Amino acid sequence: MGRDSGDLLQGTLGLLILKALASEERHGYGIVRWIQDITGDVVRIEEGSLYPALRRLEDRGFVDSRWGLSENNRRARFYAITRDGRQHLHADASNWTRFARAVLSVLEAEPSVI
Amino acid sequence: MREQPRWRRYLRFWGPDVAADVDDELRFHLEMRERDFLAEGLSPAAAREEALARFGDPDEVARWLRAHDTRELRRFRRTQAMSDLLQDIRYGLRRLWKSPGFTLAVVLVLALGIGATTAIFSVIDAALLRPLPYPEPERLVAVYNLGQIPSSFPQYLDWKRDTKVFADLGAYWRTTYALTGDGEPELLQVGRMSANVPRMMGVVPRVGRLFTPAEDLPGSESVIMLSEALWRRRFGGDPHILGRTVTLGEEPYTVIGIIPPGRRSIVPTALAAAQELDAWISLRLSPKNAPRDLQFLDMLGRLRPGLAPAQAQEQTASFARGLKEAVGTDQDVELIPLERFVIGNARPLLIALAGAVAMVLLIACTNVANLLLARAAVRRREIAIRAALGAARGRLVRQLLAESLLLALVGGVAGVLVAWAGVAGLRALGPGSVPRLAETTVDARILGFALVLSLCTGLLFGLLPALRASRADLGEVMKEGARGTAGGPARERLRGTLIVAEVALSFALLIGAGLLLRSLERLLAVDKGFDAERVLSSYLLLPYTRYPQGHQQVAFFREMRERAQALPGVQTVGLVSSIPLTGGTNGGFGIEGREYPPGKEPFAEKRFASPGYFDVLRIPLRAGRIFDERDVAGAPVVVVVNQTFAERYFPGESALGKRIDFRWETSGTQEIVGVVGDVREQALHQPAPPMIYIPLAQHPAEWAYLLVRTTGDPYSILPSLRRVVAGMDRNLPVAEVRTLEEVIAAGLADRRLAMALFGVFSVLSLVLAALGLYAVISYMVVQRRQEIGIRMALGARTEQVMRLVLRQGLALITAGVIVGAVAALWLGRFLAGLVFGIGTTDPITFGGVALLLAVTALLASLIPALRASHLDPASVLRSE
Repeated sequence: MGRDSGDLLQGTLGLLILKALASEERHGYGIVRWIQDITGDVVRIEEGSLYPALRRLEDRGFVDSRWGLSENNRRARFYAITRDGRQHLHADASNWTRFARAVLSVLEAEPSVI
Repeated sequence: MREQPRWRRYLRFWGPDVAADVDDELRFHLEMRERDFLAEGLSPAAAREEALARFGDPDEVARWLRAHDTRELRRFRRTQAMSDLLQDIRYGLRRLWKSPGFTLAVVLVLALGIGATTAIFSVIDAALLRPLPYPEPERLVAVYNLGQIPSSFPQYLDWKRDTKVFADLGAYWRTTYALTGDGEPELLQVGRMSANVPRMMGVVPRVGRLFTPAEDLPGSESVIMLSEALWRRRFGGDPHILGRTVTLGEEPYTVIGIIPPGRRSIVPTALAAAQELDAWISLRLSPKNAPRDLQFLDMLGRLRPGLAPAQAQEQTASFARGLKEAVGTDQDVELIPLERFVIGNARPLLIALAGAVAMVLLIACTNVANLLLARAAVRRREIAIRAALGAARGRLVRQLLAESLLLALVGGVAGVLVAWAGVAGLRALGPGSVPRLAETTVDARILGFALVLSLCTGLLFGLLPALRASRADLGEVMKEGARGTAGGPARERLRGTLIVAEVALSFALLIGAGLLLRSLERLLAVDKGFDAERVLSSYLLLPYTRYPQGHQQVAFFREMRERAQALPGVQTVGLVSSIPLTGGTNGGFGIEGREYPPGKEPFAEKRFASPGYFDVLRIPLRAGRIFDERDVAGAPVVVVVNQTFAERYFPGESALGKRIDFRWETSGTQEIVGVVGDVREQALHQPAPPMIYIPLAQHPAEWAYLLVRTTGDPYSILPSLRRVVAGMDRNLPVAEVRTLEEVIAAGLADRRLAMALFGVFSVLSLVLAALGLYAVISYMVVQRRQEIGIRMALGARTEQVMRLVLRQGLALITAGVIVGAVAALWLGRFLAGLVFGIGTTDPITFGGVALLLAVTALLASLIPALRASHLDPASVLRSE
């Protein structure tokens, strides 16, 4: 269950989820769908691992959830980002960006492999 | 940072079924994915397959989620329950804080109730509930001949062979020996016992060792174990005491051990007489020095494992039959479980006290319930509105209960303080007859008891009002409100019933106190038959080694008497074999010219006395003469009897000149030369037994009680008395020094305690009942203001209004007194053992108490009645 995906990936999944919820509240499938659409289906997460990740975020107080009706009038569980979640997203996003830049600068060092 | 606890959010989605929710969520995901694939043009089968492939294993995910959600739900529920409780408590505290008068009243009532109960419980706990300190006490039995008669040494040997019943059987007796040597001679309480007795009692010496079985045998070395107290007092805590020789009863003993203080260091006795031993010596008996007709041994047995005392009793009976054939004497043995043996006759007193204190607690609870009912009535509107606005009934009940439990706990804490003071007071009063009173403390167990008691009390007095209040129907309450009355007839009936119960309980308690008070009065007024004023008593025991001859003993006591008589401040001096009110020797005797079948022969108390004895105690001479200088060794032996003796054995004729056989190391018959007044010998409440006195000069004895009537404070004579004794024999201890007034007081101590406690309890209950009645009547007046106002407006006079109110109170009082009288008639039997000179249905007590209660109750209802009669009708009617 994504346990062997490592902390980095876990953290990344959490980051993606929070980002997906930053604009509006969504149900689980909506989060997957949003990431798929934004990345042009490049980032494919194992969809099953989304839900444990959501629970963990919820346990940490970063997201909130409620039962509601979906766009096709089905009963669905909606997730929303909390104030804590937003702060966490902000901090994590800048961490991640710094890290990505660092990796990029390594890769771009002479002789560049890119 | 978070505006509300996080678990609150779960409220919104958690339904009753976690598993179904998880399934719904995952199914929704898979179906949405499938739909999207269908829209992209995949075949239904492919769409499903692709959706699953993207998802992973739905079963595993579902399992994980279910486990997670179930865990969280549980945690949430716990937290919520906790938070509700905290909220209830906060709410309760706030409400109580807002009405300090009510809170203070309730806490005070509860503190008294719980405090009294806890104090008495701690006494009963120490006496009855705490197991005996010996190891495996349930297997220990006291072994006696039928009727708790001690056994002889050969009997001990017989019973020791009954190994089917006894795993171990030991013998012991308590005696006194003079300790001489350095310093003042001192009379010691000595236990003489077989080696297994200290082992059965679980005694562990502080230093040294216990006796060995070999030391039970006569001829073995004389060894002694000292109590720690004696060791410190007498030997300065000498660290090299072991192996030292001390002189006890003129004989040398080698010290082998020191026994630490504590309950284990008290040999089993009826605990009323329990006293720590000063020294322990080994048995060293043989059938030769202790033949079968010498019955003086106490026996302590440990039953075989798994053998109940009742079974053991049965088995010993069959063993006894076998013995009877072998030995030829009756062997009716009685096995008494040690617990019963030790508590003895203190049980009725303790049970009566427990009953009394339970009543006080009940009254306190009733009172508080009444206060809460009144309060609930006031709050009915509030509660009804809250119920109408959707508060769950359970929650409302819980809230009200939380309030009463809070009250009970605060009351309990205050009660523990009361109990603390109470126990200290009891110990100060300290009668010897309450077993282990000195060990009574307020410890963790007692605190636990108080806690449980408070909680039970809280539930008891809180539940009923809470249930009642929560059942309130809004419509009804509002209607009532409009009518200006706040309680239905059912409520009034309930409060009335509670008051009746309070008055009844209080009545029963007052009867108890009244009976005890009148008994004590009667006892104090009893004609003891002697004058105890300014008489000092002490005990002298001549060592056999230095005074082996009867004439030496007689000469010693005679000189002692003369020297004491010559002391300044001494009025008269007398000697006797045992002092009044403490029992003494008794036995059968013969009357010349009469034959009695065996077992039917006359029986009397027997004393030897010096001529001065009758003077010192001012025992009146009824006929003939008392002993004088004529009655010496060699002269014809004479006896003096008491009035009861003369009337019982020589009715209608003069006892003077009759001859009887004293049968106490005497031969032939002795002439009755005088008849004296009756003296209460056993106890104040027991009538004088028939009594025979024989002159000390004609009946040598190695011991005597020296009685001295002084002109001033009896104790002021003691130093010179000690000097006189030391001047005659520097190794003779002056023991058991006390005044006869102290002897009398000691005999009354437990009655005094019982009476004091019943007195305190009953006054407490009277005050509580009066308060309760006052509250109920006042409340009634408030409720009926309008009616009273109308009546007054229509011309009712002051007396009529007062009568209206008083009638209500009177009805409750009458009902309470009747119920209480019936209860007291029935409960009186528990006091039978403590009542003296009157019946437990003593009409004067019952009448007096009924009157007292009626007057108190009337006073309690008079104040509200007066208030009612001074209502201003105009303002009352306007205010409605």
